Amino acid sequence: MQSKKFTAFSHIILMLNCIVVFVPIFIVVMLSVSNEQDILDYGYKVIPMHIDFSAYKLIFEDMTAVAKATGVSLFSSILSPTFVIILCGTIGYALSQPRFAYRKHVMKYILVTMLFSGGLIPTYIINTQYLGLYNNILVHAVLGLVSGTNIILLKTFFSQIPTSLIEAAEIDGASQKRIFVSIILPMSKPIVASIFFSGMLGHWNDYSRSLYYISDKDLFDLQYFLQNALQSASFLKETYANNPSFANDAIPVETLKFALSIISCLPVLLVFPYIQKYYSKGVAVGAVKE
Amino acid sequence: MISRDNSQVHLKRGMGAVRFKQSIPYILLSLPAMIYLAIFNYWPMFGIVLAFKDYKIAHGIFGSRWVGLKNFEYFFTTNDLARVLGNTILYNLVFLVVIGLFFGMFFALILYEIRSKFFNKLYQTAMLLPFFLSYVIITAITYMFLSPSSGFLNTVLQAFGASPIKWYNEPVYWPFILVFVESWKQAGFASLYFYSALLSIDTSLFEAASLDGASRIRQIWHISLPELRPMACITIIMRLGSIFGSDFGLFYQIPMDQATLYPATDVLSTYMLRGLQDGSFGTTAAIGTFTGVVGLILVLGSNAIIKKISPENSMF
Amino acid sequence: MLKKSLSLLLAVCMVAFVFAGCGKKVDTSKEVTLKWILFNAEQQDADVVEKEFNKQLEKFIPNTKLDIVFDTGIGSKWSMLMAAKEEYDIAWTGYTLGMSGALNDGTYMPLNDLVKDYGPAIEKEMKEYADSYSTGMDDGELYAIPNQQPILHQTSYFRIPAEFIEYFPKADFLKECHSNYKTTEKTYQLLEDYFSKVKASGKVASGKITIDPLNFFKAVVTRGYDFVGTSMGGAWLCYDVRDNSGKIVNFMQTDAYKLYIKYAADWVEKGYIAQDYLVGANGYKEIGTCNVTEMWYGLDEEEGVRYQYGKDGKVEYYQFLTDTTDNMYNGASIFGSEKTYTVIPYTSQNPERAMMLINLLRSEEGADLLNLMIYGFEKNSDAAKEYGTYHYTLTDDCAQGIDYTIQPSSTSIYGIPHWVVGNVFLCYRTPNILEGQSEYAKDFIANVKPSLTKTALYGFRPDMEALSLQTSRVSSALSEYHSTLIAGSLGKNYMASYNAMIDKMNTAGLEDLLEAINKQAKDYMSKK
Repeated sequence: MQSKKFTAFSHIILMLNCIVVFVPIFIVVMLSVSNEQDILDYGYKVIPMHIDFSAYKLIFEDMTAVAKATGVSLFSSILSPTFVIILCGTIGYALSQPRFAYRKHVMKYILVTMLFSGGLIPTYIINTQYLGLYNNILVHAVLGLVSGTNIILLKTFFSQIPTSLIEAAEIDGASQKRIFVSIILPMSKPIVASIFFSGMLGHWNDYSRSLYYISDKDLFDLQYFLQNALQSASFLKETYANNPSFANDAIPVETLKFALSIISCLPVLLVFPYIQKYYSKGVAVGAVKE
Repeated sequence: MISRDNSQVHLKRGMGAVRFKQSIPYILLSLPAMIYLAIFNYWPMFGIVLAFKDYKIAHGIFGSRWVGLKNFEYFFTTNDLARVLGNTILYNLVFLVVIGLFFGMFFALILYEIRSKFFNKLYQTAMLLPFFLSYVIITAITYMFLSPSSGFLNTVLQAFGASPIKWYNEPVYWPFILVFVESWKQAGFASLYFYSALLSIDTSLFEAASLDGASRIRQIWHISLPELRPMACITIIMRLGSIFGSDFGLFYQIPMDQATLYPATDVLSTYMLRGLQDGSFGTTAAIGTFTGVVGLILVLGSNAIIKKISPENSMF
Repeated sequence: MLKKSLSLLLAVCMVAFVFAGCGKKVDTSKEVTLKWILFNAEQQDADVVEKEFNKQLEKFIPNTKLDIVFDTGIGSKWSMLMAAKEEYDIAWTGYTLGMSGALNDGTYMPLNDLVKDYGPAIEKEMKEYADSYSTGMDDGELYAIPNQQPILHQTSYFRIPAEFIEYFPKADFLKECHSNYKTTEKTYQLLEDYFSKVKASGKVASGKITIDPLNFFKAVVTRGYDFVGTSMGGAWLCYDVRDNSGKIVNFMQTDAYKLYIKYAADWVEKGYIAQDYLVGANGYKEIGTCNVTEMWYGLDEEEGVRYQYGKDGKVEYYQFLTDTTDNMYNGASIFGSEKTYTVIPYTSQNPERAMMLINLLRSEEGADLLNLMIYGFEKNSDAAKEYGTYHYTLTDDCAQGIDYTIQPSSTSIYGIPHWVVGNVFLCYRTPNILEGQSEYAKDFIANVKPSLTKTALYGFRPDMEALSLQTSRVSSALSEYHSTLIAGSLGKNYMASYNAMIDKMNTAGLEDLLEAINKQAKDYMSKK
C-alpha cells in the first residue's frame, strides 16, 4: 500500500516545484500588462505601477492577420505530430519485432541521419528548388517529421508489449498494419501522447520555418507573426531614438516580449487537460497474463 | 525480476529466404519513414562536401573549389578551442547526469506517488510549462534576480549585510546558474518519458510486493527502477551522441553575451556564431562533420558498453 | 534526312547568333515581371499602389511589370535565397546584411556595363556622389548602388536632454572639441563636470544617471582615427588621420584608448555610467547620448549646436557637434558603409530591364513614379479617385501625409521609407524634412564634401579576405575584454584586464596582422 510519508514527501517536493515554476510565470504575466515607460524608468517590478494592455493591443491590432496566422499554426500543429506518429510509429513497431531480420541495418540507417546532416544550405536548396516548398503552406506540415529519437522511444515502448498479444492477433488473421493500429497504438497511449504533445508544442513555438521558407504574409504561422511584431517594434524604437519628434507613446518593446511569451505558452495550458488523460494511471498492459 | 522484453528471441541463422519472407511486412512498415529520411536527410548530405570546399554562393556547391582540410585547420588552430570544447563536453555530461537521469527519474518516481487526479494535473502542468517558454523570457527573469543594481539576489544579500555581487562579471558562479536554469526548463519534460514508462507497470506487482512486506522504497527499487532502465539507456546513448551540441538560448541569451563570462559560458555553438565570418558555411560544415564523426564514435562506444551490461537495452 | 535537319538547325543557329550580337538596342518586346525584394513590412493598400504603379510604368518601359516583395527578414535570409537560386531582379541590401560577405560570395551582379548601356541617370549620380558610390564598388566595378538618404557625412555629436542645458559647459566643450581633432583629457574633464552638476542638482529623483558608453566610445573616443577594413563595430585597425605615413595601428594600444578606459572606470565608480550598463540599465536617466556616423541635414541653430524639437514644438535635445568641417575628413573606403543600397542579384534573368527601372526611378522624369512608390496616392490624383483612397496631400509647402512618418509601421497607411528605394532628393519634401534642408544637403555634397581633407589612406580598402584567419583570432581575443573596459564595469582593477587583453591579442598574431596590412597600405599609397 501507499506509504503516507512517501506521498507527503512527494507532495512537498512537487509543490515546491510548482512555486518555482508558477511564480516567475506570474511575474511574466504581470510584466506583460505593465506600462512600458514605467519599466524604462524604474526597471522590472513584480506589481506593475500601472496596468497597461498596449502590448496585447499592438499584437491584436490586425485581427484578420492574427486569425490567419493562428489558423496556419493550428493546421501545422495538428498535422505535423500526426504524421510523426504515423511515420515514426510504423518504423518503430517494425524495429521492435525480433522477427524483422534486418532491423539492425535499419537502425544504422537511422543513426547516420541523427549524427550527420548536410547543413542548412543544401537542405534549403533541395526543399525550395526540388520540392517546391517555398511559400507553400505544406512546409509547415512536412519538415522534421522523422527523428531517430522518436523512433527509438517508440521502439522501446513497443517492445514491452508482450508478443503473445501480437501472436494472438496474427492467428486471428490480422495484418501487421492492423495490429499496429488496433493493438500497439492503443496500448502505448502515454508515449504516443508524449510524442504527439511535444511535437505539437515544439511545432507551435518554432518560427524558423516561416523565417526561411515564407514571405507571403498569409502563410505566416502565429509564432513568426509575433516575432515580426517584436522586430518591427524594436526597429521603430531604434529609429525614433534618432528622431525624437516622431516618437509616439513609448513603443512597448519590453512588454511586448512578455506578452509574446504568454501567448506562446497558452496552448500548453489549453491543450494539456485533453492530453492529460493519457497520463493517468490505469493504462495497464495486462490483457494477457504471461 | 520479470523480464518482459522480447529481444532475446533470435532466429536461427542460415534461413535466409524464410527470414526475408517473414520480414516483408516489417519492411513495408518501415518504408514510409525510410523514404522520408532518404529525401529530407540523405539527399542533402551531399552538402558535407562543403566542409572541404571554399564555398562561394554564386559558384554553387559544385562550382566552389576544393580546399582539402583547410576549414578543419581553421577550426583546430584557434586558441580558445580547448576551453570551448571543454565547456561544451562538461556541461553536456552534467546535464546528462543531473537532468537527463537524476531529475528525470526522480520527478517521474515521485509524481507516480500522487494519487489525487487534481494534484497530478497541477504538478504535471508545472513540470511542463517551463519547457515551452522561450529563452527571451527566461533571460528577463534571470536578469530580475541577477541584476547588480536592483536584482532580487543582491537585494537579499544587502538585507543580510553582505556586499552585492556583480553577477554578470564573475564567471565562477555561472556553471551553477546555468545548470539551475537548464534544470528548471528541462527537468520536468525529461521526466515525462520516464513517467510514461512507469505507467505501463502492472499495479498488481506493487500490491503483491507490499503484501510480502516490502516498504515503498524497496518496491520502487525493485519494480519501478528497472522499468526505467531502457529509457535511461536511451538517454545516455542519445545525449552522448549529441555531446557537442548546446542549447543556444541557454549559453548565449541567459548570460546576455557578456564577454567576461566566456570562460564559463562559451560553448561550441556560441563560439561558432561569434568567431566565424558571415556565411562561412565551409567552416560550419567542417565542424558539423567533425562533431558528427565523434558523436558516431561515442554512440557506438556507449552502445557497446551497454550491450555488455544489459544487452536488451542496447540499440544495435 | 537527318543530315538535312541538322544543317537546317545549324543555319538557324548561325542566323540567330548574328542577330543576337547585333547592338545593345533596348528590346522591350517580351513581357517581363521584375521582382524587387525590399526591406520593409507590407502595409495596407500595397497591392493597390502596385497596380497603379504598373499602369504608369507602361508609359516608360513597355511590357514591364513590377512585383514588390516585402520582407523584413532579408538580412538573415539573403545567403539562403541566393544559394537556392531564387530569382529576384532587384534587391535592397545594407546594414542588416554582411555586405562584404555577400560580395565575396558573388551574389551581387557587376553593374558597370549595365549602367553604361541602360543607366544614364545613374552615371550622372556617380559623378555627383562619387564618394558615396565608391563604397559600392570593388576593384573599379560597381556592385551596389547607394540609396541617397539624409545622411551627409560621418561625424559625431554629444546630445543632452534640454532640461540639463544649464549645467553643460557649452562654449568650453565646443571650443575644446573644435580646436582638437582628437579628444583630449580636458574634454573628459568638462564632461565630468557636467555629470557631477547633474547629479548634484537632484533633478533626477532616483539619482540614477548614465551615458551610453558604447556609442560614446564609437563617437567621441575614436575621434581623429579612421578605421580600415570593416565598419567600426569589431574593428581595431586604424590610423591617425593627420599621419601622412598612414601607419596602421591597433587602436587599443593608443593613448586615446588608455585615457578613456581610465575615465570610464572612474565614471562608473562615481555613478555617471550605470554599472550594469551592458546587461540592461533599466531605470537610468540618460543624460548624454551619442551617435557616430550620421550627420543629418545640418541646420545649426547656433554654431556647432543643433536643436531637436519634441512633439510640442519645444526643444527636447541639444546636439553638440564635435567637429567642424576643418576636422572632418575623407578617409578609407569601406564597402557597404553607406548602409543602404540597391543591387541586382546574380540570379536575375532580366538585368537589363531591372537596370532600366532603377535608372528611371533615379531620374527627373521618373520622380513622380518614385513618389508614387514611396508615398502612395495624392489626394487629388486620378488614382485616388479611381481607387477611393489617398495617403497624402500636396500643399504648397510640402506633402502632408496621413499617418506617414519616415519609417512607418505595418499598421500605418501605405508608405515605404525613402532610404529603402532610391534618391531622397527626388522625393517630395515632408514635414519631417525641414525647409531649406534639401538645399543645404545638396550644397554640402557638391561643394563641401569634396573639399574636406583627404587622409593619407583616402580610398584605401584592404583585402580582408586574405587576412581573415588572423583577423578573427585577434578579434576573439579582444572581444572578451573590450566591451567591459569601455563600459567601465571592471572597476578599479581594469588595468589587469587591459594588459591581459593586449597579451592575448599579441599571442593571437597581432604583429603579423599589422605587418601584413601595413604592407597593403604601403602598396596602395605608392600607387597613388
